[in-house]
Amino acid sequence: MEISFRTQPMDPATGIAFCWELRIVADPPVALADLFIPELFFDFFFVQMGELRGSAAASRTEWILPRQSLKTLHTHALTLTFTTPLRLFGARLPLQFGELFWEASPGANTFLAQEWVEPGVADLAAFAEQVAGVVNGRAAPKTPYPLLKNGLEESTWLSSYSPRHKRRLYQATFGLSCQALQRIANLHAFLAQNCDFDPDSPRLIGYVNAELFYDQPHFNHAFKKMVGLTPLAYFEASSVLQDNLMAVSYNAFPAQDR
Amino acid sequence: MNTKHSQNDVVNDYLNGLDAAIAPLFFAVRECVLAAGPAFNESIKWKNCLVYGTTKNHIQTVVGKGKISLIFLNGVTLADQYGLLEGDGSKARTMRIHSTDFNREALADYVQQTLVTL
Repeated sequence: MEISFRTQPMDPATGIAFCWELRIVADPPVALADLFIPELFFDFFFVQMGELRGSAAASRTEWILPRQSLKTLHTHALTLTFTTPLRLFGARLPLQFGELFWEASPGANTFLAQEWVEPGVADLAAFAEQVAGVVNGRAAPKTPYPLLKNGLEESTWLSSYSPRHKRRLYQATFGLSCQALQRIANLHAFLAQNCDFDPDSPRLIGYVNAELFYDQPHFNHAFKKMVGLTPLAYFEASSVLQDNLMAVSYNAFPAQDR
Repeated sequence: MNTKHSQNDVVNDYLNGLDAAIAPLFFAVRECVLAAGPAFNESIKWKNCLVYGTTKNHIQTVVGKGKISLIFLNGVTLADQYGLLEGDGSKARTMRIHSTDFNREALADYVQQTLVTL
């Protein structure tokens, strides 16, 4: 099985974090399961060759993804199964994309069918250009000013709004509450750490963020609820696509910008 | 970059960004792992761990100060005739490598056993 993963950095002015292309060739063809955990990014997928199936353990449902789809924010893990040969393009969109998305409230935990690129797009550069054209051309701010500043910090103009009004704004913009967004951010504060195990004691407890989790049981519970696996089972699980997306995101976007 | 180019841009970025003091050791270990386990694909897990896997992850590489740690995620199943695997956990075992004259035969054996015990 050969897997190649290419990335294309994007100008921040395009509103796109980066674009990527994943190719998998296997002889004989295989179905490859990829675990996807919640992240504070929207993802656009374009399946040019092969097939992508999604399944969520929480709802016990399975579906075939449209050729072009937008993955909204998720609160629980899902499994994407690739069939080979696969040629998959994608664009990673930061949280702020939710504020500019031109359709009505995207809702969480869903894939929205889209038509952003020509089906015969030749390569990653052409894909990136077409996606940038759509994202910039159709952007329609949902509020007069952005809801969030850096990271999850709320904009000051919201201070005069009631908690109920703010909850509605968050739901309409991101499909999730502020608390749900923070829970996802906490998970990634743990996963995004530099991994430099102590030579004598490579224990997980040394990496549990004390300012975010009371103790290791609290961390384990929060992790398992969101990921569906224990931390150690998660590290062993294969996630060809999301591992790469997360690595690029962690290195390209410091925590305060995510 | 004085090592085999990866099919994965993220891995190449990672290899290019390695500290010059540790890069030769890292490249030597990587060369040995890929030679013994050509079926492995590489990816970056967490922020900065190179992982070798097939349909699941098998070996995690962690760069420490002056050393490379190879964490065999299911290392408890490996027959350790060289006595180089550390750890007493229920699953993982770690091989720590400090210099480029490390025991290549042992590493190749662990890698091949890992692929056999899939």
